[in-house]
Amino acid sequence: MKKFYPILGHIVLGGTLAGVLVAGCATAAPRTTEPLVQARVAIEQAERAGAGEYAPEFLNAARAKLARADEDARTSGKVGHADRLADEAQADAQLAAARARAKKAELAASEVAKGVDALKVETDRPTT
Amino acid sequence: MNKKSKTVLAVGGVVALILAGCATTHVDPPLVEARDEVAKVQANPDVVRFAQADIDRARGYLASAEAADHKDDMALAAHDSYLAMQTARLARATADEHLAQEQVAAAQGQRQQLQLDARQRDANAARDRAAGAEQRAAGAEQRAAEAQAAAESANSKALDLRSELDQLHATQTARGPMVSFGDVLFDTGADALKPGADQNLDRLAKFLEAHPERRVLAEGYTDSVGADDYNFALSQRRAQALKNALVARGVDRMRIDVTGFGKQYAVASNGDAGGRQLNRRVEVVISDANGQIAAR
Repeated sequence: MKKFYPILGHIVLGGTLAGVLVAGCATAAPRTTEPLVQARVAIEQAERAGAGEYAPEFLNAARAKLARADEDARTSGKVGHADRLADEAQADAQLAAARARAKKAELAASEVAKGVDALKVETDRPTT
Repeated sequence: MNKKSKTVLAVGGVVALILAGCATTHVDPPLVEARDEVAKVQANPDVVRFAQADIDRARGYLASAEAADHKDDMALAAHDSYLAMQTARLARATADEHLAQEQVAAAQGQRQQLQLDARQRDANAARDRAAGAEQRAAGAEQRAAEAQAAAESANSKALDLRSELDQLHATQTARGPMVSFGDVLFDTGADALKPGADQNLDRLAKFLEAHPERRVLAEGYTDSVGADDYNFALSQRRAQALKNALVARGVDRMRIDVTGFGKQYAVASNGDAGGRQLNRRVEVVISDANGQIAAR
């Protein structure tokens, strides 16, 4: 029995090594869950929609929550908590994008209305 | 610590317990706010029209929050309440966007209509101007035609008069058209017109009938043979004879003046018989259209 110990020791050592490697991978790379990915996508979409200019408060809230979610997922392993934060970040980002689109549409509407007023003034002028 | 302060503490504690109980079971602020916001957007016709899907999602989160609240899972209730809240706001923002887009479309339509109206008005004005110009051109054309017709008419009248005067064998003089009746129409020393003058007298009478605005002056002349008094009287009688002949042909005597110049204004030499014959004559000068005849 004693004769087999070294082999057993190797196996244990290999297994431990593999375990350490796998664990290393898991902790070194941030654990990405579906909500985290979706929150990141939503933030990018909000940025493209101009939320940085037109709805910065919700965009910033989304970024902060995503950062906390990332942090939680990486360090404390509180996956459920991180996912909730990510969900909220996604909701914030989507709201930021919608607000930005609404704001831009409202600006366009007031521009066009100004144009119409100008045209009215112009066309109401009596033709000579 | 006396009895009174103990009682106050006890009452305060009970109140605090009641408040805490409410807060944890049913008066969770995020949940209340979420309920309120979802109810508001559901009641907003614009949000219903443009963001029904978002409203439905918000209601889903709200239902989850209510369920979590029932199970006393405060963390989950707050989380779902937050999602319900943000989704309700999202619904509102989506509706705002669509409303603004509608305004843009309406304003663009209005602008298009204004431009159309302006173009139409310009076209109308141009058409009116063109019509006015056309009308003016037509007026000018008509006036030109009338003027031309008048000119042609005047011209043709002048031509008619000319040809009529030609038929009278009238000579154009500075004083007007003149018809000369030579002495061959009178016997020597006589004042009776010979029948040879009838044709020309008929024509002259006809001409005067056709031109009632014109008058005539009959002027008698003689050669230099004989006494001046005699010649003067003879010239007058011959002119008078011509007047009588015209009156006999229906010409108003008031339109005929008569005068005699005797041997004056000879048209040829009195040195030979041929010249003297030319000098014995009656000249009838025809007035202008106003009845005027320049005196000799």
